[in-house]
Amino acid sequence: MHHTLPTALILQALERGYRHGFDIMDATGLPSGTVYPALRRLEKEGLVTARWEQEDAAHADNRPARRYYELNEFGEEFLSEARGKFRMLSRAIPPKPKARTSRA
Amino acid sequence: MLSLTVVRLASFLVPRGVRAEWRQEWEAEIGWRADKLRAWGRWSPAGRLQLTIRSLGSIADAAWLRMEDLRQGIFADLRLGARLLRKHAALSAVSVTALAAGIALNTSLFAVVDGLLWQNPPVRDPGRFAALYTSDSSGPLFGNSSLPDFHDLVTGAQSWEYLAAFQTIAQAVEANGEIERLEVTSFTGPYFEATGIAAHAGRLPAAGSEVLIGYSFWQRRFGGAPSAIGAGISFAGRGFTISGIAPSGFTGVSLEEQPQVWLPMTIPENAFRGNRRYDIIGLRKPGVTLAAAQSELSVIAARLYTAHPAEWRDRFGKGRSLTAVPAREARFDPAARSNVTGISLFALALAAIVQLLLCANVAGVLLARAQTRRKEIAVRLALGAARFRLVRQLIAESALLGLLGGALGILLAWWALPVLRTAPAWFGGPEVVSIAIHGRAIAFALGLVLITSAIAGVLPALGVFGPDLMASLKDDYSGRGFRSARSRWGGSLVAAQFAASLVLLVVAALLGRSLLRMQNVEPGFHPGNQTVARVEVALPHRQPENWKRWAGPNLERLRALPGVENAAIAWRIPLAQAFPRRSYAVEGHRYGPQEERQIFLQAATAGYLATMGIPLRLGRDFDPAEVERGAGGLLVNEAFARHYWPGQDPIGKRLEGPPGQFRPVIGVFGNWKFRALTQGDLPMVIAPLEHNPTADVTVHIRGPNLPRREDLAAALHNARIFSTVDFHQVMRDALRPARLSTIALLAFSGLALALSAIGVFGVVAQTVAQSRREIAVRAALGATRSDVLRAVLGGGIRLLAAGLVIGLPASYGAARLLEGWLFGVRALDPPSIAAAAAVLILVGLAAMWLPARRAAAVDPAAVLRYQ
Repeated sequence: MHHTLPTALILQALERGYRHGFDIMDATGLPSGTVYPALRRLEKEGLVTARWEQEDAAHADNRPARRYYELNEFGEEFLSEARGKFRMLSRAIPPKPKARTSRA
Repeated sequence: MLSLTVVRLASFLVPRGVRAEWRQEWEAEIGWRADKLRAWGRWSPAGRLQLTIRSLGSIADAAWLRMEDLRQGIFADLRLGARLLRKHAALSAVSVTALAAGIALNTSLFAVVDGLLWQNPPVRDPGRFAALYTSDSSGPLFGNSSLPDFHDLVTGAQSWEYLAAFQTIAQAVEANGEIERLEVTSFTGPYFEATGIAAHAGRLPAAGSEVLIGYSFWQRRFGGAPSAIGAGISFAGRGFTISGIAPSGFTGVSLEEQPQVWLPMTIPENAFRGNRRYDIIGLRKPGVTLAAAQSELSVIAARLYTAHPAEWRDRFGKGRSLTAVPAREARFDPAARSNVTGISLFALALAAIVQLLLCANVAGVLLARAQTRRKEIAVRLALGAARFRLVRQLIAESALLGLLGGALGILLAWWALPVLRTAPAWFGGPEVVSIAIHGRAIAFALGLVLITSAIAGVLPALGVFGPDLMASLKDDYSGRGFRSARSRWGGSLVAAQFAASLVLLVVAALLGRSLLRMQNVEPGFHPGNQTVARVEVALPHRQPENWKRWAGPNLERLRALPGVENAAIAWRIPLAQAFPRRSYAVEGHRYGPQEERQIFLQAATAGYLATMGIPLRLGRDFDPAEVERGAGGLLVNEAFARHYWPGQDPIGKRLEGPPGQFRPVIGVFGNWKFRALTQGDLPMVIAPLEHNPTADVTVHIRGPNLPRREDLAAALHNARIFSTVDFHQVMRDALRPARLSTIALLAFSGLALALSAIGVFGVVAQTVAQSRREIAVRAALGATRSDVLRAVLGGGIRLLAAGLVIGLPASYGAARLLEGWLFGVRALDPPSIAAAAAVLILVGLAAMWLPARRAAAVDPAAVLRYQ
């Protein structure tokens, strides 16, 4: 897999705690047509792990369960390589505010 | 919500296995965001629009998943296909070989046609290159030009950067101690600049005594040695110095002449305006289109007509024209080109039919193989597998077969290249060294592979997914009776094969009958006991005053040879060399506006008619003494006499050759075939050779014991023999193109017949295998052997009948296309059609009979007990 800027931005957003597709779009500013295929590719390459949130939590809020993505160790390694290429990467995306992660 | 509709529609793109999960992910995200927007008080039209735009990303996401799935699926299908091919290795090998043979045949033929018709000549800038023609007196646009006209063109035309004129003549060329007959191009003007040719070694010829020689001649005669440059070379009685070597593959612009020597021309004395025997080539200035150059040429032609009306008026009383044709069309005389195009396309069409037949057989094999998997396929469908995926698997198998066959076929065609390059020459065309398996030919082969694979894969798929697929889930598969899906699809393939075989058989029969007619043509002369030698007369004897001293004594010596009855010298060998036409005006004849003035001319010594065995009908032969005085008349044939003087005595009538020169007719000879065995009775004049001397003559000898070449050489003084040939050989060579086409068509139709026989054998054998139980029941109920045979054969006979019904009109259509090349046979030729149909029916019935016999031998007790 190549270190493209969109891929690097998505990994960086995941590392900053943005775990859902739409949140990643908000954080990176990338369009949905880029973010989702990139996530699928990252998942297929084994850099990102996807899981479904607990059904109970979703039921409690009266909504369907969401799928979330997490960086695994290969992803982290890949991200650190990408940081070598894109120097400003770690400053590009701010950490996710605490208040909004609580319900994820 | 619109965004949810977008996601729902996009979900149809997502592979079925992950669709539900995918949809849930997107719907959960959209729902979550909608809740948020409401909570933030931003559930406005703008907010909803933003959400909808975001949902459009689901289409890209779904498409990506689908592509990924396809990619993996295709690899899996190919792996499965490869496994199946390996499992049935022998059958696969046969199919691949058959496809390879077909693709090799088609690709080779395409490469040959491409080399003849679609390649540019070996010039540097084909886009700007053109050949220029002056129209003939009798109308055709593409005639030769004269040197004075060429010079007027050079000074008058602004469109051309370079213009050159040239003439190519066969000469006896002596170099490095050996003599060889080669075509020599002498040119005036910037010939090498127009073609963009630079010397491979040495330099281009400058002075009048330097020549450039061809690469292949250099290799052959000098072994490619650099010392050839500066070496001597002689022809036409003169010595020259080799200044350089032409690049490999350059043999002039036209395919019809393939010179190996080029030299600057010394302008001949007879270069008057009416003497049109030169070719003109040119390179347009950059930016000038062919159309612009052409309109300028038309203006110049009109100007030349005004200035020189005598030489520029054609026989319809109009001005002649100048025409430029693009580089690609300059490879052939444009008049011959349409004929070559017709033959080429016809050959390609026949090869395509063979390929279709092969396709049908491979489809039959795959269909049979797929049938054995029907149960498996039905189970998988019942378990929810996508029909599309199963079809793809079947196509993957045929695609693999096609690709393997294609690769092998291209290799075969490439391997056959040296043969292909000489192939046009067998049919009387040129040798084309530029024939190659290059981009276009490979693209053609790949296209064939694609079509072949599609046909061979889709048909079995259609057959497998027939309406009774689910019936195969029932255990009783083997007892489905005489008509099955297999027979229906396999059957239409076989019927198509029968039809195509009939087309090829009819064409072969027509060509064969046409060939027989040609062989039985009465040529109007006696080819037996005759030999003919091509001879070059030594230079000093070519002058008219020396000629008399050369011909007379040589003929006396030849006639004195033991076993020789008669001998004569003439210009050309009938049926082997082209005869020139000269303008003759019949005194007192009122010419119609369309009437031909150009008459075929042979020049010969006294005794030519007797030596050839052409009957003298009226009058007498040339008198050598009279001819020597410069007097004497002309001989004309019966067709000539009948045309100009019907019902009159032609002896003593006069013909005007060059203006003001009248000659009387002294004899009338029988019509004979000199151009082709298929020609009609064309008017011809024979003039005394002594009045028309040339360097290149033919010596005809008749007698019960023909002399050997050494004896001939000893008797002929001041001359050199190139070749001697028996006249029977001349006759055989004249029939060679017809014979080769017939053999090729017989081979094609034999192959087609074998393929359809195999096809119908398979259909009937399968019917028998699948209806053993029904046969047994019928036999047990008292059906006789012939009842069973009739039931089993019925299907095969229906296919044969269908093949005949489709094939008969199709073969008439093919025969109509062929009509121009047939001789003495019409397109609708009942004996040919009957013979072709009879062969097809016999072979078809024989192929059905073999498996059907097994059905009749079924033992009802054994079969019923077993089942």
